[in-house]
Amino acid sequence: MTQQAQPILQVRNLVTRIGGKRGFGNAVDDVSFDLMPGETLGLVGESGSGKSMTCLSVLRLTPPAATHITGGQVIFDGEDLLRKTGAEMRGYRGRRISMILQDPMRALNPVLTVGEQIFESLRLHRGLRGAALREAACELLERVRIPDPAAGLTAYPHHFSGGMRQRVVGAIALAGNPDILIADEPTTALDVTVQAAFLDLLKSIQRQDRLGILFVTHDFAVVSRMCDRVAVMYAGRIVETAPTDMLFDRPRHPYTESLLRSVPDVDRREERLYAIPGQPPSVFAPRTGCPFAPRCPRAMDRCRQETPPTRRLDDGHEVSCWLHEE
Amino acid sequence: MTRLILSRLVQALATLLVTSLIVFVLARSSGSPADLVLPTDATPAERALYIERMGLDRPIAEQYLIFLRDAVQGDFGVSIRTGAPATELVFDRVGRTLLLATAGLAVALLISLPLGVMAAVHRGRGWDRFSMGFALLGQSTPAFWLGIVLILIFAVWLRWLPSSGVGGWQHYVLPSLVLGWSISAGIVRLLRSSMLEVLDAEFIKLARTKGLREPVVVWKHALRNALIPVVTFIGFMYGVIIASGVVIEVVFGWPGLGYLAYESTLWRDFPVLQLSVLVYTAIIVGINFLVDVSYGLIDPRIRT
Amino acid sequence: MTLTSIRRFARLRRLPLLPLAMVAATVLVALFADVLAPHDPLGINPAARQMPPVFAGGSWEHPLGTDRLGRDVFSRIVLGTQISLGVAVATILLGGLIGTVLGLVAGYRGGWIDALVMRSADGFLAFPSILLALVLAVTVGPSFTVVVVVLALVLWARFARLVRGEVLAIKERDYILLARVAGAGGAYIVWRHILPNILNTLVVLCTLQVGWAIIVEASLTFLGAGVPPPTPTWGGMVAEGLDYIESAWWISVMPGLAILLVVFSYNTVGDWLRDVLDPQLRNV
Repeated sequence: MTQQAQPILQVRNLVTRIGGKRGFGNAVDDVSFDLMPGETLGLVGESGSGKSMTCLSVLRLTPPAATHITGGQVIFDGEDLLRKTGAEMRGYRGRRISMILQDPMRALNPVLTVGEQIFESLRLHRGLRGAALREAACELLERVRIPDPAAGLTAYPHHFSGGMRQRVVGAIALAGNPDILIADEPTTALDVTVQAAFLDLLKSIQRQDRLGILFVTHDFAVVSRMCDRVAVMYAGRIVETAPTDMLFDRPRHPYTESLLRSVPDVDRREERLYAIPGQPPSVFAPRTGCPFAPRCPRAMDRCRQETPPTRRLDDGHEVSCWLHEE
Repeated sequence: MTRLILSRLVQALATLLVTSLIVFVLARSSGSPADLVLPTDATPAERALYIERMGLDRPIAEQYLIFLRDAVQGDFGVSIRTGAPATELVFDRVGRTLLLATAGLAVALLISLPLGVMAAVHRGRGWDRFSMGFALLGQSTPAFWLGIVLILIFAVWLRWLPSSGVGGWQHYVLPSLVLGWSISAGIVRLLRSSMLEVLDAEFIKLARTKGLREPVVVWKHALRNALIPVVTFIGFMYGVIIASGVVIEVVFGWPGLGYLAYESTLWRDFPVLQLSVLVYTAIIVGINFLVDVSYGLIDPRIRT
Repeated sequence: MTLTSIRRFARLRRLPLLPLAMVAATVLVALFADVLAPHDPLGINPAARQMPPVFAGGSWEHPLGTDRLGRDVFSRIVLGTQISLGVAVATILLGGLIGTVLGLVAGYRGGWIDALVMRSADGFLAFPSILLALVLAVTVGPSFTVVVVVLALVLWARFARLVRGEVLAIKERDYILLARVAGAGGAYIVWRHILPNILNTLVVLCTLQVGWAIIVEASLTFLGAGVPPPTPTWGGMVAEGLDYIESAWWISVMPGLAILLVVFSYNTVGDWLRDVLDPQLRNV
C-alpha cells in the first residue's frame, strides 16, 4: 500500500435521495471516503445501511425511477463523475470502474453464452474482433482459473456452479482492465470453501493489477482477510473509518463497538450473541441528530439534537460521534 | 420429452377426431346428409347410390366409421358447385391462407415488439399509455369493419392499393395490417409484463455496469429473456390469426381457404365446407403441437 | 358528492370515467331501445334512400343517414345494441357458468378429472369457432342460439383454465387446510372459501369477454352465420352496406364505429378493473 500516492477515487459528501409511495429520504447521506490504487476499502454495515446504494451511486446506476443523486462529488482520476454526461459515464463503466454483484446465480444473462457476455466487454473496451477476441476471452477465463476456458466460452451460465459463475463475473469485470473494482458482497451467496478460493483469487489479481477494490460486506471475517481499511456505515452515513487492525483493536464509534460485539467469536467460543437493541431507522423517517442515538448505550442529549461532524483522531480513526468531540 | 411429444400427439389427434365427429353429427342433425351433400337436381338413382355407399341406412356409429374410412383414404366427396373432388379445391387454397396469416403475424410482431418493449422501459409514462392504448384499440376494432374502412380510404378514395384479390406485395398490405393489429394487444401486454420482470433482474444491472449502451441492454439482454414466455404465446397466436383470417379473406376477396369456406356456405356446398373445417382444425392443432414440443428449444436452460 | 370530488376520486384510482359512462349507456340503450329509437328500425322509406349523415350534408331527421331501403341508420344501431349485448350476456352466463364449475371441480379434485377438463379446454380453444358457426349456419340455419352456443363453446374453456389456476393457488392456503381438518366437505369448502376468493378474477374476466363476444358475434353475423335479418344487428348492417360502400359509405361505417366505441369502452373498463381488483391477472 502506497501512502504517498494520489487516491484513485475520492467520494465527497455524496447524497443519494430515494423516494416512492412511502416518502422520501437519503439512502446515502453525506458520504465521503478515499480509495488508493491497490488498496481494498471495506464498506461494512447492516443490510439497508446504504452500502449497495453508495456503490451504485459511484457508477451512477441507482434505479432511475426511485432515486436521485442530489449532491457531492465522485472524483475519479481527477474528474468528477457526477458532472459527466450519460455517454461519457458509459466510458467509465466496465473500462475504468467494474463491479461484481452479490448473487452469481442471477448476475449472468441465462440466454447468452458465457463467451458472448465476455466478448461484449472486450469488443466495447478493447476493440477486439475475431480470433484476438476469442484469445483474450480465454486468457481472462484462465486468469480467473476456470478449467478448460475454450469450452467455457461456448457454455451457458447454468452449466457452471455458483463459485465458477462468480469467477465468470470476475472475468467480465476484468475485461476492460479497470482501475477500480466494486465488489458488492461477492461471496455472500457462496459456500465457505468456495468463498475462500474466490477471495484468494481476488487478492492475487489485485496485486498484479494494482486494482483498487471497494469491498462491500457485512462479514467481519471477510473484512479482516481482505481489507486494508474499513468504513462502517449506519443509516446511509459513514460513522467510522479506520485501518482494519485498528478498527478491530479499538473501535471508536459506539455502533462499531456493538457491531463487533455481535460477531460470533470462534476463538472465545462465546455461546451468546450480543444483539444491538432496537431497529435501524427507516430511510424515510425524519432525521435529527445522530441516527444511532436511539440505540446508542452512551447517547447524550446533544446526540439527539445535532448531527456529529466527522473528526480525524490522532490514531488515524475518522469518527462521527460527539463522544470524541474534545 | 418423448412422453410429452406422445401425449401431445394423442391430444392433437383426439381434437381432430372430435371435430370430425361434431361435423359428422351436425350433418345428420338437419335431416338426411344426402340433402346436404348431393346437388339439388340429383336423380333418385344417384340418391340411392349415395345412401348405399355411405351406409345411411345403417346405425349411426357404423356410418361414422364409413366416414372415417373414406376420410383416411382422402375421399371427402365432390363439390356440389363444381363437381371436383373437395380435396382438390381445398388443398389448392391452403397455401394462400398460410401466406396471409404469416404476413399478418409478421405485422403483429412489427407492431407489438417495439410497443411492448417501450411500454416496459417507460413504465407508467407516455410511451406506456400510448402502447397499451394502441394495442387495446386494435383489439377493440372489428377486423372486418376495419378492412372495409381501409379499402374505402386506400383503394376507393386514394387508389393507392388494390381492394381485393391476390397479386403483388400491395395485395398483402391491407389484410395483413388488419390481421396483425387485431391480435397485437395480447402480445404487447404479455411482453410488457415479461420485460418489466426481466428489467429488474441482476444480470441487467451487470450489463449496465459493463458500460453497455442502454439500447443494447434493453434489446439484447432484456428482450431475449423476456421473449421466452412470449414466444409460446406468439406460436399460439399464429393459430388464432389463421382462424380469424376467415373474415379478412372474405372482406378482401382473398382466394384462400376461409373464402372457400364462406362461399361454400352460400352455395350450401357441404362436402367442401366440411373438409375446410377439418383442414383448419388440423392446421391449428398441428401448430399448437409444434409450439408445445418446441418450447424446450427456446430456453437454453431447458435445452440441455 | 360534488363534481370536483368525483373528478379527484377518478384521478386517484385512474377511474376511466368516459368508458364507464359508455358502458352504463349501452346497458340503458339496450334496455330502452324501443323508446330511444327515433324511427322504426324496420320502416322502409323509398323516398329517403341512402340519405347521408348530418355531418356529411344530411339532415337531423336521420342523424346518421339512411340505408338502401331508406331505414334510419341511427335507429337500427340503437336496436342493434340489444342483440350485441344480449349475445354477450347470454354467452358469458352460459360459458362462464359451465367453465367456472368445471374449473372449480378440476382444480379442487385434480387427478384424471383435472386432466380431462384441461385437455378438452385446450381442444376447444384450438377449435376454429367461426368455421363451426359456418357449419351450423348450413346445417341447422343461423340464429341467436347458434351464435350463443358457438361462443360459449370457446368461452367455457377460458373460464375453466383461469378458475382452475386460481383454485390450485388458493387450495394450499392455511385456512382451506384448516377447514378440511375441521371436517368440512369439498362442496362446502369450494362454495364458502374458494369461490369468494376468485370472484374478483371472475368479474374481470367477464368484463373483458364482453368486447370479445360483441366482435365475434358481429363477425359471424357479417358472414351470414349469426343473427339473420331483418333483425337489426351491427355486423349485419356492415354487411348490407358493403355493396354500396362507394356511394353510401355510412351504411357500413357507422355501425362499425358503434362496435369500436362500445368494445373499446368495455375493454378499457376491464383493463382498469384488472389493475384494481386483480393485478396478478395477466393476459386473459
